[in-house]
Amino acid sequence: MADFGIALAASKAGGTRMTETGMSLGTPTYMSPEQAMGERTLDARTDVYALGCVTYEMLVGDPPFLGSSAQAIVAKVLTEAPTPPSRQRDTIPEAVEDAVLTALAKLPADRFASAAEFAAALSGGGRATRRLSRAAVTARPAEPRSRRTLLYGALGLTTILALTASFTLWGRSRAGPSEAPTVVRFTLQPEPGSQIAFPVGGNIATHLALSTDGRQAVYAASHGGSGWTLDIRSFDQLHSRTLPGTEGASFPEFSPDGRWVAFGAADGSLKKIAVDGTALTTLCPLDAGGVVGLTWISDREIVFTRLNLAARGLWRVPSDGGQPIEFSQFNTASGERLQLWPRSGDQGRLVFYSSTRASNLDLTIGVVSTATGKTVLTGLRGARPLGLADGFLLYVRGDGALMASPFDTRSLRAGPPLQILDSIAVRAWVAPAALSASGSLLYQRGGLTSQLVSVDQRGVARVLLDSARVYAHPRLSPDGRRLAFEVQGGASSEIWVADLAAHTAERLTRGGIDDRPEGRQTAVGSSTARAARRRIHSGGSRPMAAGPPNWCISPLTLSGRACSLRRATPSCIGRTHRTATGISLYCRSPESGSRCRSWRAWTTTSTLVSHPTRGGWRTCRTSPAARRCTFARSQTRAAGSGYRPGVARSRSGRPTVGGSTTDRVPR
Amino acid sequence: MAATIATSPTLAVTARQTLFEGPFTTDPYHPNYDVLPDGKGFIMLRPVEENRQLVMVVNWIQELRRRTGGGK
Repeated sequence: MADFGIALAASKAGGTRMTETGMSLGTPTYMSPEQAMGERTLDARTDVYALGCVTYEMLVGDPPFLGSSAQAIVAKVLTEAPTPPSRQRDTIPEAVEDAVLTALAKLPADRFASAAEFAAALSGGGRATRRLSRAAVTARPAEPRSRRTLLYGALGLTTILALTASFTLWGRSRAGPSEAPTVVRFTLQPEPGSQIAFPVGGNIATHLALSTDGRQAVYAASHGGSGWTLDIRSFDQLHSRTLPGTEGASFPEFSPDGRWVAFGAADGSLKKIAVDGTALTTLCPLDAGGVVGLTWISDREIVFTRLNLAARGLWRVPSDGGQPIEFSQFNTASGERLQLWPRSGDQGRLVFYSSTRASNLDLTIGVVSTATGKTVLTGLRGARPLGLADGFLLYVRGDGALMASPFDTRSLRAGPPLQILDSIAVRAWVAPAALSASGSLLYQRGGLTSQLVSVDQRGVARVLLDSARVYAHPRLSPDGRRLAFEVQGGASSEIWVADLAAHTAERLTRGGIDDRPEGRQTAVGSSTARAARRRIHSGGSRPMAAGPPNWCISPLTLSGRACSLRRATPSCIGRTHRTATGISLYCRSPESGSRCRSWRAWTTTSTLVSHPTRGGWRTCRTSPAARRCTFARSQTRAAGSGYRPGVARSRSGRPTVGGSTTDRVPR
Repeated sequence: MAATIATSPTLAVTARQTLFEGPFTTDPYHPNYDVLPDGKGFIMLRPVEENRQLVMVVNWIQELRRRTGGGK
C-alpha cells in the first residue's frame, strides 16, 4: 500500500543527511513504532499505521503526534497513545474513530491486516474494530496546532483512492498562503529482484528523469543481467514498471504533458514510448554516435544533440517523428566546438546546453533561443544544465556540486552562482540529476572520492596514498616509482605526482590530463592556454604546441613522442598530433556535414589527404591554405583500417610514420 | 580482463580472462588504471563510497528559495 522506500528514508530523518542539505523531513510524523525502532521487516500493517496517521490528520487537522524535532515526534510515536479524534472534533462518528485508533495501534498485530480492511472499517461495513479507542487511550491535552506537515512522499498509496488521489495537490493546498510546502526527501527503492542501475561504462549518458509535475520518475534498472532497461515509477503507485523496448536506452525525458518518454535507443535512434508502455515509436534514425541528450520544448517538438562531429549542434524534430533540422548557431568567437545535453527552459523558448570549446573538460553552459537559433554562452562553467527554477538557472558542476545562478530570460545573462548541494555523483561528464517544473529534484547521491590502490593479480588491493580525493587517470612512470594522476575538483583539475616509496605527493600543475612521454615529462592540457610539458623533477614547463589558446590535449592519447591534440576553429574540427618534428592536424570541414569523407592531416609543410575516390591516404606538399594539392605518394596508410601510427613528418617530402597513438585513422 | 592475442596471420583475440573483480572507478573514454612495469599488478581507483542511491526531494524549490534568500 505504501512506499517502503519512503518510509525507510524517513527512518533516517535524524541522520547526517538532514544537516548536510538543511532539508526538513515530514515523514517521522507518519512513521510507525516499528519503523521508529529500526525494524527492517515491514509489512502492510506499517502502512496501515501511516494511513491511520493521514486519516487522523484529515479529521482533526493535525497528525497524531507533534514535536519540535524528529526525535521528539519519534519518542511520542513509541510511548504515547494518540488523543482520540473526537476530543478535538466531536462530530466524528464513533466507527471512524475506532477504525483510526485501531490503525494507530502500537503493535502491528493490533492493527488492520490490510488497507482494504481499514477502508471497510472506516465505512462502517467492515469487521468490528478493536476497541482501543475512547476508553482505552490516555487522555492528554491537545497539541497546539503547529506548522502542518506535507504528506507528499509519505504515502505512495493506491488502494484507498479517496485518501490518496492527487495527494500532491492536497498536500500543497494544505499550506496556507504564508506557509511554504515542506521539503520531503526520500530514497527511491528498486523493485525486489532488481536494482537501480547507474551505467557509466562506454557512454556519457544520463538515465533518469522527472515528469513535469514531479509525480513520475524514469530511471535505469537492471533485472539480473548486465544490461538495463528504463523503468517508470509513479509516486502514487506501489510498483515500478519496465518500459518495453528500452534495453540499453539513455537520456529519457518526459513530455511536458507527462504522457510520453523520449529516449536515445541503444541502436542510436531517437525513440519515444507512452508512459503506459505502449506505442513505442522511432522518431528518427541517426548515424553512428546516436543521441547525446534531448529535451522536449513542447508536446510537439523535441530538441536533441548528436555524438557526431559533423552534426555537432542542436537539432529539433517533431515529436511524431520526421526529418531533424539543425537550428542552433555556433559561438565561433569563443571557439565553441560541441553543444551537448540540451535542457528546455522558459516554456521551450530557450534551450540550455553544455558547450565544449577546446577541451572536453572545458564546459560552459550555453543558451539558445529556439525562435532564432542565436546562442549565448553564460560563462557558467559546469557539466550539465538542469533548467530554470524560480528565476535561477540550475546546473551541475563536474565535482558534483549543484549550482544556482540568477538568470534573466530576456537578456540571457547569468549572475554569480551559488552552490546549493554538493553530493551529486557526477562522473565522466555524467550528471545524474533531474529537476521537475514543479520544483522537485531527483538525483543520484554519492561521493566521488576514491583511493589510489595497487592491485595484484589476485585482486588484493593496497592503498598507495592515505588521502581519498577525486582521482582520475593514474599513470606510472616507466620505472614504476612515481605516479602521475589527476585530482579533479570544481571546474578545474590538477596534476599531481606521487613518490610511491615515500607515500608523498605534490602538485605539479593545474589543468588537464597527463601521460608519460619519455619518462621524465608529463603533458598537461590547459583550458586557458596551450598544451605544455612539465618536467616532473624541476616543475618547469614549456609550451608544447605553438598554437592559439584553444589548443588542447585530447586526454590520454599521448604516447611516446606524440600526443593527440584537439583544435577548434571556425573552419575546422579535428585532431592534431604533435611530435618533436612537427604538427599534423586531422581535420575536416564541419560545413560539409556527415557526407564529407575528406579528412586531412596537415603538417607545417605538407598535407595528408584521404583520397576521395581511391581510398587510402596520400601526401601532398602544399600548404594547408592551398585549395588544391598534388598527390606525391600513394598509400601511406589505409583509411579506417585500424589503429595506426598517427604522426606524419614531411620535411623530406615523404611521410614518416612515427610514434604511436590510439587514434583511429579516420575514414 | 586480460586478453590473449595472436599477431599472425592477423591480429586476433584468442582468449579472455577475468583477472579480478571489484568496485573500481571507470571512465568511459580514457583508462582509469595503469599497469605496473613488471606486469603483475595494476594501479586502480577504488571508490570510498559504494552505496549510491537515487534521492527524491519533493518541493526542493523551497530549499532553493531558502538558500537563495527567498528567490527572485
